Formats: sequence, C-alpha cells, structure tokens
Amino acid sequence: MISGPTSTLDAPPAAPEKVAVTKVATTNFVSIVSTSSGAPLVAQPPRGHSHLISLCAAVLVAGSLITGGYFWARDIQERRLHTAAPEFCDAKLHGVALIREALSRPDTLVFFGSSELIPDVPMKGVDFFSDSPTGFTMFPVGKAGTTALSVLQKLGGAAEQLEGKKLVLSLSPSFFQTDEVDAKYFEGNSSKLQIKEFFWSDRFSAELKRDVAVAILKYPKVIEGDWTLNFTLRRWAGGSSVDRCLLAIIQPYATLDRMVGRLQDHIEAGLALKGMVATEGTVPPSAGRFRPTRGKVLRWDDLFLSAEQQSKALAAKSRKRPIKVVRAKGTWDKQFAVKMRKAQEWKDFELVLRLLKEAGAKPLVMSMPLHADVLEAQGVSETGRLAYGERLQEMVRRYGVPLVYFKDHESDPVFFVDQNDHIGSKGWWYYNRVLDDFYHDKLGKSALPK
Amino acid sequence: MDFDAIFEGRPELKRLALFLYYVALVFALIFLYGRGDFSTPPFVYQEF
Repeated sequence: MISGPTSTLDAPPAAPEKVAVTKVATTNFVSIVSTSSGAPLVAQPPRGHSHLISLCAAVLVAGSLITGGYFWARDIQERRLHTAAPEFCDAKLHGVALIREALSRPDTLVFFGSSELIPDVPMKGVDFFSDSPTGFTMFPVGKAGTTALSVLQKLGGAAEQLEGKKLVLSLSPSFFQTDEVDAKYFEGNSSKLQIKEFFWSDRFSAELKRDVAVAILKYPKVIEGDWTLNFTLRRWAGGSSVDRCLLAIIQPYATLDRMVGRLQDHIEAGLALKGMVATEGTVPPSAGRFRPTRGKVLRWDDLFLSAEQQSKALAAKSRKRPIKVVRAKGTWDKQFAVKMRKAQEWKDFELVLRLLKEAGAKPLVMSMPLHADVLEAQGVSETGRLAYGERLQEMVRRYGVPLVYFKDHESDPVFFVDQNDHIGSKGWWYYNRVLDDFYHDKLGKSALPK
Repeated sequence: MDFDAIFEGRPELKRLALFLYYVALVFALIFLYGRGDFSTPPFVYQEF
C-alpha cells in the first residue's frame, strides 16, 4: 500500500503516553511514519536519498584526500627531486612524474643511460655533480639493460617537457653488436604508463607512433593484462582509417585511464621520495672525496690525475676474466660488420632520434668505446671496428645531433671498470667533463686529454 | 540483524553509519585498484 503525502495536521492527536511507531509505507520518494492509531506522525527523509547523500559525502571526503595527496606529492617532488638522482626505484624509472620534473628544471641535466649508471666507482657523474659544483646537477635515468626502445618510452612519457631541453643519451656499444638484444632487457624496463603517455601525446606524428607501435608489439609480454594499451598499440600499428576511428572512440576512456595512472604515479613518487629523505646524505665514502662543492672552481687537470689513479687502483683489484683468443686478428671483420649492420638497436635508436627531433629537444649523444682487446681476441681488427663509429656518426649527422664518441679509448685498459660497458673513474672523468661543457655551451671548445 | 531497529529514532547515528560505510567502501576500492602498477615482466641481467 502506498500512502499519499498526508499532512500531520490532518491527523487526530496521538496518546502521548504510548506512541507505537510503525512504518506503514515507503516509496522511492516519500516515507510516512504513523502511530498505532494509523495517523501519520512525521515525514522522514527518503531512504534512497540518505544513501545517496552518504555516498556523495564519502566521495567528497575521498576526493579531498586524494587531491590533498596529489598536492603533497607535487610539493615533495619539487623540493626533494635531487634525492632520487642516485636511485633506481620504480617510481623514477617506470613512472613519468619524476622524469618530467627533472626535465622541467633548468638546473638539472637528465642523462639517459644503462648499466654504466650502476657500479659505484669514484667520480661517477651523479655523485660528482650532486652538489651542483658548476650550476647544475645530473639526473641519471636508466638501469641495466636500458636499450634504445626503453629510452624512447621514457622520453615519450615526458613529451611536453622536451621542447628546447638539453639532455644526454649514453650509448652502450654492446647493444649494437647483436641482431636482437635479449627481449628481457626491454620487457624488464618497460612501463605501461610511459608508453600510454607517448601514444596519446599530440606532440608526435602518426608515422612515428606507427613505427614505435610496430617495434613494441614485438614484445607481447609488455602489453599483457592491459587491454587499453594492447588496443592502442594495435590500432596505431594498423594505421588504417578504421583504426584511427576506433582510436578516436576510445580516446575519452584512454584519457581517464591515463589520468588515474598519473595520479597514482604522483603519489607513488611522493611516497618514494619521502622514503628516500631518511637516507639522504649517505654518500659512499669513496664518492665523498670526488664530490666537488658548489661554487668551487673545478681543477679538471688535478681531477684527471686522481681519476686515473683511482682507475688503476680499481684495475689492480678487479677480477677481469682472462681473454681467450678464439680467432686470428682481422679474420672476423666481415661477419662483425654484417652482424652490426643488422642490429635491431640501430632501428630503435633512430626512432629515439626521430622522437627527439619531433619534440624539439636538444640532445647530446655519447658513446663508450668498443672493447678493443675483447674484439681483437674474437678476430675483429681495428679496421673492422671502424664500422660502429662510422654508422653512428652518419646517423646522428642526419638528425643534426652532436656526438661524442670515445673511440680513442678503445684500447685504454682503465677506461672501463670491467669487460662490459661499465665505465670506471677515468671514463667518468671524461663523461663529466663533456657533460659540464655541454651544459655550459662549451662543447668542442676545450681539448680533452688522451 | 535488524539495522532499522538499531537506528530507530536515531537518524543522526544512521546517517553517520551510512557515511562511514561508504567511506570504507570507497577506500577499499582505492586500496584494491588504486595502487600504481609498476610491475614489469621478469628481468634477468647477469653481466655484473
């Protein structure tokens, strides 16, 4: 039975000593409570409305807390970004907030590298520039196995911050000496958020997005479990007008998906930085000696002698594997050249250069030397090794990007700290000098010692 | 359990309980689905 909206004024007065309240009817709009005599007592707020009001209040509270958390995270990112510089946490490497923050700062030089960033050697760039000795700090981004495609997604995730921005790409030649780099390298460095940010950015051409989508789809594990990303990549790779139409249809959902991802990323980055604050100032004892302080004139010649000394000490202590000669010198030049020419890494590296050109960035490419002793033992002569530098030079020239290639050091026994692409103190001295010159627009104006 | 009986004659308490119930629900959803997913496929690097 549904009672009408009867006024309490029409009802006879109820006995005040025993008011047995009974619910007699509820509609979606009105609830009427009556006394035992059947007379309505008072009109209550509708039940559905009380749920709605409570839900709205709860959402409002949650929204306020999330907004507060976002601003707290932004604030801590602005104030504490430098504490993340030597770290390899997920929020830094797989997120976008910290990389964007670093790229937006005029006093920070972002350095995209790979495993050379990991070994703790004296004079490592991140420690060397940590006190901003010449007006900037270095913000390294990368960990072991960071190939060109991994760098591309990190850059693509920060598209808006790239225009006119100086940044450095450090290349590991070993990635260019094999047809296909181990798939696990990209898989382990992939980031769904960074890839989504790249594909939904309006800074890049459809041709670049199509080529990048084709390159990433070779790694199906990367898009596993994320239908938005899977769908986006397949539509961009398809490139037909139907694909474009489908992309336009899902754009609102994809935008919402990215907004949620960005919010999570900011809060994760804030929490990560908060955790790092406790350990701030803990510098390895060896690094402290080579940590110039702000405003101090850098005596590069003295630092070079220290770095060389350190490198020799490290070499004496290192457990380098004895190099086994497997072929006569020069007998493997042709095969080496073919293998290098076919390397997937060149194609991916070219995609990075295209992205940087479209974004209007000002990059510097640095490449470590090849390991002459290792390659000679495999039958690759100096003539054979020239192919790497020539190809690299030709590629960066096409995109108008400056290149610093330390070819003269391929036989230097202490440039590296081991037989992989991990530079030692002496190698870092060269890198630091180039970074300083690049930041201060002095690249190529100062002579480097051999 | 008869919730109507518990909150009978105490509308403020009912409103508060409903509000807390929805706050808990919203935060449970955020907790379940809201954490940043930085997981990547397995990564093996043996060159150190």
